[in-house]
Amino acid sequence: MEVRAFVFKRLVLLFPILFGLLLLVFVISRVVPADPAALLAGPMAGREQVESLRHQLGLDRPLYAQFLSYLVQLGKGDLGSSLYSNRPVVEDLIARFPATMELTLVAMTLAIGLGIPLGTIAALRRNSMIDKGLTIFSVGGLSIASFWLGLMCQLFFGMYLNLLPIGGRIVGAPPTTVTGLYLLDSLITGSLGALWSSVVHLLLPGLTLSMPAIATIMRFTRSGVLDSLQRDYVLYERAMGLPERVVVVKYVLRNALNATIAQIGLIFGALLAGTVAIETVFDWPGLGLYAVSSILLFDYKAILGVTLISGITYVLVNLGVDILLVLIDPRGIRRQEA
Amino acid sequence: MNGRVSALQSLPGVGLAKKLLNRRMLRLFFRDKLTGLGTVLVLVTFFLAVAAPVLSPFPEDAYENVRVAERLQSPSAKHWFGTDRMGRDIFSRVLYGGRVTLFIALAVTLLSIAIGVPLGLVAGYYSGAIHEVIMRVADVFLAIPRIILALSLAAALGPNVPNVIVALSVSFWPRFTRIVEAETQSLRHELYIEASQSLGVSPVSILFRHIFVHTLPTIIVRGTLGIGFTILLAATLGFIGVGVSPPTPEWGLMIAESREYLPGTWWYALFPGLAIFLTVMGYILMGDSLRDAMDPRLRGIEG
Repeated sequence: MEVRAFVFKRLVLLFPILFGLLLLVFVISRVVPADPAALLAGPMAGREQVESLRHQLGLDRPLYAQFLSYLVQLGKGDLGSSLYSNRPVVEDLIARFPATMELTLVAMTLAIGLGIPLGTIAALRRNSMIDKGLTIFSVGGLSIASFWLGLMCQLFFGMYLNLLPIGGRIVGAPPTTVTGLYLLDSLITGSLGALWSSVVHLLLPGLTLSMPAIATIMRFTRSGVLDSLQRDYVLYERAMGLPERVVVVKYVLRNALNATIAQIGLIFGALLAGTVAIETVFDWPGLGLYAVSSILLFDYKAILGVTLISGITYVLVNLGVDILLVLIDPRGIRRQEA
Repeated sequence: MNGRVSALQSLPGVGLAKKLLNRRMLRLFFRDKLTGLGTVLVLVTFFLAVAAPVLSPFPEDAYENVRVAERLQSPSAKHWFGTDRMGRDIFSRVLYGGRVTLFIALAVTLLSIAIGVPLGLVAGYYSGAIHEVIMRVADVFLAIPRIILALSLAAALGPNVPNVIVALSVSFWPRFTRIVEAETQSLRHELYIEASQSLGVSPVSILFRHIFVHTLPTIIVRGTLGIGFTILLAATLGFIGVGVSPPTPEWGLMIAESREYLPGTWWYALFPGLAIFLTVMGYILMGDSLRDAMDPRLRGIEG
């Protein structure tokens, strides 16, 4: 019952946040710039064009009226059209969303798959050379600019050694679209060539994107495991003669990973945002590359679209993680309320 | 060890640090080698940035300058880090880049603390409408990943240093609000606070003289780490093309410029990236050590 009430409360809280998100994006587009019409018209527009656009978009009307019509437009799923391609921004976003999602999910998987074992090893071998080395590795992973790491990997593995592709999602025909995620689609349709090509193309962007996330998960796992190891139940289990492996895997990790899992929503947001730089480096046709090329063209509506869609995705993922945590361990309700 | 500490005492600002860190904390702070490395990195990068005009072999290359004959040269005795597409000395530009970057990162962090901390104190101390309003507004700013919010703001404001500072601060202050709010809430019902209230001490005085002081360690730790992460974000904005504009010597921008000359000119991208890496690492190591030294809860565990 408590769980259901909590989920309900979180769902209700979603609305003010989403409303605030819309308001914030509205303020960025209409209030922050000195002349929004000039910004939306692009740098090539003459004064008459700017004025006619101002009238056409209703930018000469009072702000609250503008906000209302902006909400109505959004309600119809309309984010305006790109200045350059003239295509609706929503279509562009939908077309590019799966590429970003695939990259983010691969990076998340790598971060969890590498971060948790490495963090656990560091904690178990505390203060050893392995621990010191892993600590340096994780601090390094947090300190490195991912776009620079990507560029260096591209230079070394792509250009010098010619081992891996330096950009793009796939060579040859992409698999038949089911989910838009090439890995999944090529598995579903059983085209091994496409699968291999997708994997090879994902390797460098996935690894460089996940570097800070691997480091973060390692740090949280290490301190979580260290904390759990000092608990009385570990002393008891050891005294009972349980093998160390059982103690660690079955009891310590289960308690230690709470803090790590609670971070996953945040890490997902960081990865989603990190795609902006990584997609630029690896020419990955997702939302990040779209945002950056829109910025270079001063295509402002497209940038706002990306801002809105990342905000919404991020809010929903965090909501999902919070609810999941509570479903796994209802004691978390009190932790989250506190 | 003692030599290191006493050498530090002659530096300005250490007086304040000494008040915050008592002798035992200092000993913990300087205990292991990584802490030493972090402190050295922070001090060295700061010194290099401040002294850039004196140390650069070619100070005139920092901003606009063209030497066609020396374009894209690999590292040599004359140009330690090689030259860029305009024939400018990359070593000089990396040094000047430190000035720009550290100025941005320090300004962003201080501005975010100045906005975020008072709001967090107020939101944590009072319940009801004022708490709800501040925290829900902070939630909205936190609902957009930091780089995306900074990116759309920087794109709306236009590319220059003050705008980058605004864009990065707008996306940073809620983090301070949130942690200070949480700490204030847990302190609010402490006996000494309730005693002050019943003695009629004004809320302003309670918040700043009693509660704020207790949140300082957290703020310092987060602030130090925040300087590191802000340097990364500022470089990312520069790389994408919404940060500062050329010819400002900014590390991210320099890496972006290098891209069209790869794979031939590895030095063009390598050195600005190394500068980012070492500078950020300094602040992260230092933030970690400060946390271990100041937060007794972690002391037994992490050592």
